[in-house]
Amino acid sequence: MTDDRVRALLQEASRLRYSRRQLLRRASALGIASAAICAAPALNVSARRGSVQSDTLTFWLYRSRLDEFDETRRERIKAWGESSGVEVNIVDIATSDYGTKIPAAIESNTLPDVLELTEEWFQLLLSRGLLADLTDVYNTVDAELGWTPIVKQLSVEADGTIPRVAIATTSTYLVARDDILSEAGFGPPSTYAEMFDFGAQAQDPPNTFGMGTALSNTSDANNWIMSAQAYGVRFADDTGEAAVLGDHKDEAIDWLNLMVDAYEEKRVFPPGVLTWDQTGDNDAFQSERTIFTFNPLSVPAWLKENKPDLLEKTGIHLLPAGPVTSVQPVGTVALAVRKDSPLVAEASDLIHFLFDLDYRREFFQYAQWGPATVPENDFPIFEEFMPVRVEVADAGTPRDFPEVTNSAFNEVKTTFVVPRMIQRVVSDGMSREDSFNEAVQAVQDIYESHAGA
Amino acid sequence: MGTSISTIRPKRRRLSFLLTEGRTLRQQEAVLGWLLLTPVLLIIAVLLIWPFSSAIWISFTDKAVGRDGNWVGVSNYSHLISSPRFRLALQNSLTFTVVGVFFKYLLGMLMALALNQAFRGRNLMRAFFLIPWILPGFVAYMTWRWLYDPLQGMLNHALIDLGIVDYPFAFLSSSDNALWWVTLAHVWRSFPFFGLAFLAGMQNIPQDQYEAAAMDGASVWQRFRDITLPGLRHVSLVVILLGTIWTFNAFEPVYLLTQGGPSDATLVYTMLAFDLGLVRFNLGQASAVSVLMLPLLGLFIVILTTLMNRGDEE
Repeated sequence: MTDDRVRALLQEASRLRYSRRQLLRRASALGIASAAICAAPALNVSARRGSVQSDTLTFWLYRSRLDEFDETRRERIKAWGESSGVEVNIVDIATSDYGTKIPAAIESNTLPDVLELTEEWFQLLLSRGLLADLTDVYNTVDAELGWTPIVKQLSVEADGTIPRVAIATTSTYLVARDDILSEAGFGPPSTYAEMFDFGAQAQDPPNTFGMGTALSNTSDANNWIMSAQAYGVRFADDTGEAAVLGDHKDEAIDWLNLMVDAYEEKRVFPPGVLTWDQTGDNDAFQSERTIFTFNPLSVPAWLKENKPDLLEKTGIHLLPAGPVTSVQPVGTVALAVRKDSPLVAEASDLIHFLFDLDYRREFFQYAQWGPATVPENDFPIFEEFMPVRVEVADAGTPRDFPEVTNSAFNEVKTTFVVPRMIQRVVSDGMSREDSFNEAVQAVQDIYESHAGA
Repeated sequence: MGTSISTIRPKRRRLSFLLTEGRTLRQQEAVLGWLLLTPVLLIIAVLLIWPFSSAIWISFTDKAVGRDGNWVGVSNYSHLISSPRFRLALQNSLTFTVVGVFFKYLLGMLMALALNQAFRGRNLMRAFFLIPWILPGFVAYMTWRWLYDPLQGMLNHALIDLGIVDYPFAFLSSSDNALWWVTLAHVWRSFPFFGLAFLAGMQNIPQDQYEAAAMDGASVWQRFRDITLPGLRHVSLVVILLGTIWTFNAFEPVYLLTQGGPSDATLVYTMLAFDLGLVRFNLGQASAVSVLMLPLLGLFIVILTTLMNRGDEE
C-alpha cells in the first residue's frame, strides 16, 4: 500500500470519527425516534377506542370436528367474497375457545363483523347491546323459504328485534350403543333412572362404562340441567327474573340422589369424568368406551365419516323423562353481526347468500344440525341420516324450557352451577343438603346481579 | 446556500442549548442520561405501567366484560378476603409453589450433580435432560393429560396390565390427589432450568477445593455440603426467586390438566382470576385477585434479595 493511500485512509477515518458526546447525542436521538415509532401504534390503538374498522369482512366460524363440513362452509363464504368484491377473512375457532375469545374480543373491541354462535355467546353479546338488528335479512329469507315454526319462535326477541339469523336447529340427544344394550336385553331407556340402571348392568368396566357425559366444569356437563328439570327442579320463576331454586329442595335432592348413586354405587361414570374437557364425551364414545352419552349429534356425524361400522351399532334417542316431566330442548346455531361494523349491509348480503337451497342441501349433507327453513325438511339427507332431527325441530321444547332464556340463566350455565352441585358431593364429600344450599346461594346471587341490568 | 445555512443553524443551537448552555458538566451528563433513558422509560410506561395501573384501577370498580365500571371502593377486596374460594385458591397456590419449588430444587441439583461428572455421552445427556423445559408448555401438559387419562392413558394401561389395579385410577379426578399430580407434571417440566443453572454454577467452583478436601479425607457428602452448596448459594437464591415467581404465577398446568377441578380442588389464584374474569365476566374482582397477590410476592422477593445481599457482604 502506498503512503498516499495510507494517508487518504487516515483522513477518511478522522472525518468519520465522532466525539463521545456526538456519539451519545446521535444515540439518544435515535433512541427517542425508535421509542416514538414503538409507542405510536399503542397510542393510536388507545386513541381510537372504537371497534376495529376495516374494509375486510371478518367471519368467525365454529370449527367442527368434520373437515368436509368446515371446508364446504368456508368455500361458500369465499364464493360470496369473490362475487361481491369484498375481502373476507375467515377465522376458524374451536368451540371450546369461544369462551376466551369472545370476552377478550369484547374488551379489546375486536369482535368480528359476522360470527357463528350458540345461545350462551349470543346472550352475552345481546345483553351488552353489541349486535346489529337483522330483521331485513330475516324477513327476506322468510319470504323466500319460510322459517320453521320453532326458528320463528326462537329468533324474535321480547322487544321485537331480530339480532340473529338461524342457520340450523340443534338439540341434545341420547346417543347409545344399541348393540350392547340389546345384548344385555335392554332397549332405549325411557327415564333417567332406567338409563343409569341399563348402563350399570350393560357396562363392563374398565373396558366400557355406562354413562359418558362430563361432570366437570365444561359446557357438556350442563346437559345435566335437563335431567334436573325432568325431576322438577326450577331455577327461576316464570318471568325469568327471580331465583326460585330454594323452593325446589325436595326435587333437587331426589335428583342429586339419582346422580350420586349413579356415580358412587352404580359406578357408571368413567373415572376422570370430573375433569373432562370439551372433547371428553366425544372421545370416550368414539373410542367405544361408553354406552350412553348426551350429544348434539356431532358423534354420529363423526362416526359417519370415520367409523361407519360403529355408527351402525349406535342409536339416537330422545332424552329420557324424569318423574315430573321431560324436556327435549331445541336451540339454534345462528349468525350475528357486530352492531358497529362498517359492513353491516355486506354482512346481511352474505347471510342471505348462505340461504341458497343448493348450498343448503350440500351444507346438511355434512352437518350434524337440523333444518331451519321449511323446504329443508324435505331434503333426502334427513330421511337417510338421523331423521330424528326433523322430528325434534318440529316438536321439541324451546331451549331452556321451562326456564326463561336470558342472561341470568345463561350465567347459571356458564358458571356450571349444576355440575358443581354434583362435584361438591362426589368429589368434596359435601352433604347433598349443603351442596344444594350452596347452589341456591349461587343462583340467588346471579339473578340478583342481573336484576334491572 | 446562505439561506439554507441560516435555517439549519438555529436548530443546532436549540439542541446544544438542551445539552450544554448554562449547565455544569454534571448537569449536562444528567440531561444526556435522561435523554438516553427516555426510550426505555417510554416503552416501560406504555407496556408496563399503563396496563398495571389500569388493572389496579379496575380492581376498585365493578367492571364487567363489555360494560363500564363504577367505583366500588374496596368492596372487591373485602368480598374476596371473605370468600372461601379465594382462601382455597391462596392455599393451593402456596402448596403448589412450595412443593413445586422444593422438588424442582431437589431434582435440579441431582441432575446437575450427575451431569457434572465426566462420562461418555455427557453432552448428549445434558441435551436430553433439557427436553421438558424446551417443549412448549401446551405440548408438555397435554402429554401429561394423556398419560393421566383413565381411559386412554398409558399409566393406567400399565397399571392394569401389570395387575397393580383392576380399575382405572383417576389421577386428576380425586380432590385429595389432583393437586399433587398437577404439581408432578409441573415439576417435570420445570426442573431442568434449576439443573441447568446449578450446572453452570458448578463450573465456577474451583476444582482445587475439591482436591484439597479429598486429600484431607472429606467424604463425598462432606464435599457436597461444605463446597458445592456454599458455592451455589448465589445461584440457588436466584433460581429459587425466579422459580417461586414462575410457579406461583403458573396458569398453564392447571388450566390444561384440570381447569381448577374437580370441584375447586386444584384452583390456584391464577385460575381463580381467569374464572372470575373470563367465565364470570367480573373483571373488577379478577383484577383484585391479582393485585392482592402482589404484596405476597413482593415480600418474598424482598426476603430473598436481602439474603442475597447478606451473602455478598459476608
